[in-house]
Amino acid sequence: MADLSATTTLASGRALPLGIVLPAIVVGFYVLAAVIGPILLGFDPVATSLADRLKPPMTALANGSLSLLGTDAVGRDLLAQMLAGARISLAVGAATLVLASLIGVALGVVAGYWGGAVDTVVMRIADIQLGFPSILLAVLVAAVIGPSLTNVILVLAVTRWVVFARVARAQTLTIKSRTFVDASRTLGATDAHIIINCILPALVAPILVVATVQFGLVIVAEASLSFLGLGLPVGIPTWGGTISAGRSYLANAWWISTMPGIALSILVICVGILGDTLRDRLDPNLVTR
Amino acid sequence: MIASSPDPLAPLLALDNLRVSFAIRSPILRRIKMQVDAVAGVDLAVAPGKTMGVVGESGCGKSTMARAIVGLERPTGGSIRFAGEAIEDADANARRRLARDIQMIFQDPFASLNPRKTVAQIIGEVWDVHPDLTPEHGREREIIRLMERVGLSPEMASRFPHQFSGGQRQRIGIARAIALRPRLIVCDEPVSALDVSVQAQTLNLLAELQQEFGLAYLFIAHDLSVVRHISDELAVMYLGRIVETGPVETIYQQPAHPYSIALLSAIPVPRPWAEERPPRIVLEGDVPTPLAPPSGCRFHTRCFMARDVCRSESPSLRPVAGRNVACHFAEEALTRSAPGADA
Repeated sequence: MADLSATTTLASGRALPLGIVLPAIVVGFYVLAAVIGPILLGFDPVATSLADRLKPPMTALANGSLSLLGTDAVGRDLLAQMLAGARISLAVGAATLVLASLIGVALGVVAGYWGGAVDTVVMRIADIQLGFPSILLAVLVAAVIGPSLTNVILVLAVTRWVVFARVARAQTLTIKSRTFVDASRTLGATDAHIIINCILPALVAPILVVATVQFGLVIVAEASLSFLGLGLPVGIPTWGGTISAGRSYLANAWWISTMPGIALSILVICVGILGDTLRDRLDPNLVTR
Repeated sequence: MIASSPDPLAPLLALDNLRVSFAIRSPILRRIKMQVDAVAGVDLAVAPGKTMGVVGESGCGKSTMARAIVGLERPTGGSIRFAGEAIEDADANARRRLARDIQMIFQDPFASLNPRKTVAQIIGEVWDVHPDLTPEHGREREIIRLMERVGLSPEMASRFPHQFSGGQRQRIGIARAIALRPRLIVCDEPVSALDVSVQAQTLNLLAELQQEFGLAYLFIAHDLSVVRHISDELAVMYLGRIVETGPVETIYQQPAHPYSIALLSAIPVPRPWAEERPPRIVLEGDVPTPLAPPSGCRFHTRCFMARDVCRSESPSLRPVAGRNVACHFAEEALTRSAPGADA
């Protein structure tokens, strides 16, 4: 069927809108910085230089190098710290969302498609969890299983699956009563076929939007956990860790908290815009307008 | 595959006292509060290669009956026989096998096509479900052949449903339905969502395909002239039951059930002043709710011929003048509908 589908594709005949290109470039830049940044600008969390403590941005350091974004309370370069932190924060954000959306979509689709007792059990658990502050739950679980990168991802995924499950269930309920699902059933299609061909494609757009909103929340939640000492071990730099470390110096060294804070905000905003425009683009009825 | 029945006159599809009920449950305890018989005992037979038209008002159970035949609703009573085999309790495997013989064309062509799939993918779904039907290398050619057969240009194969007009969308639905080479297609108001000019083209296409593939149609409609155009036999439904069934011209020329008389008198004619036609009969009131169907004959609340016996005794279908009628006074109705008679 290759030459049947090659003539027209989703993207053909129309330039990519600015709403996708611009945030995509920014997000791509973050990913690139996270991957190659630490290689170019090494960061050693235990190397301190007391002569360079709390230097503001654009200061020449004792070893002759220039500190673009300033230094922190023990003289570590903030830019290097943020690049190393980007790796961890982006990885935690992405891995958490992948895990949470897999669990949430699977449970939501099962609940919505088959209904009955499964639906009741899954959605009541979801309701109970939503009525419970998610950060408190994360603190509880993290305190029990201890701090490590994997555990932080697990803990955060446990607190986030509910949102994905509810959206997936609601969407499944509307899609499964549509006529084109009846048409597939009339062809003799199995439930698995209907879920894969009719329901999952319709879930992509709403789940993407939820994921972009959750991305910022997850990075902030990871920061909160690290701040409480329940996130990542102290030696691993994260944005959240750096922001909370700079809190006590806000009056005389504003840049320690502000710089990673700005970086985080720009990323969250761009991911949000990207999700929004992608959602519009994935709507089949809007594609050729 | 089901072996073809040796008797050429044996019906391809036979409904025997078919019932489809829906339970209305109380919102909290989920206890069954009431039962609605959407289809309340229907007998119907479709001959191979012929068209059975079904007419009736909205809510009379036409669509529910269609959905029960293709397995989208489970009958609560009676039987559905296809080529002699009882299919009302068919499990998923049997349904997949039956899908090759019984297909459906839906009323809303847009809603019945997956908006995220191209035409090639929509038609190709047939082989996702029945991979043994056409070898993989022959599928692309088969899609092109099917599209050409229903009057679509094969260059459109990679387009999405929203890029087509209503008539073209229904052609996609028809191509999907004939891809399995079925023997029966249930058409649930296939042209009622289309423009009048496109309706005629679509009906002609259906007639051509019937000739070519020897298809039988169960053709549901509320447009009486459409049904007359395409059907061999006719069934008139009222509130979940069939009130009159027989050869289409017999019924159109001289209906024998008061409901058929009223229904047919509502067909507009091009030059009403020039044609001799029975007087228009306007039924009063609405169709009663199937939650509480009237006692006796279900039509007696609106019937212009109703007597006492109609309120107490439910008439069953009996042969009168070349068709079957469920009316205590079919002979009298027949004289009323005779050409030139005064109603």
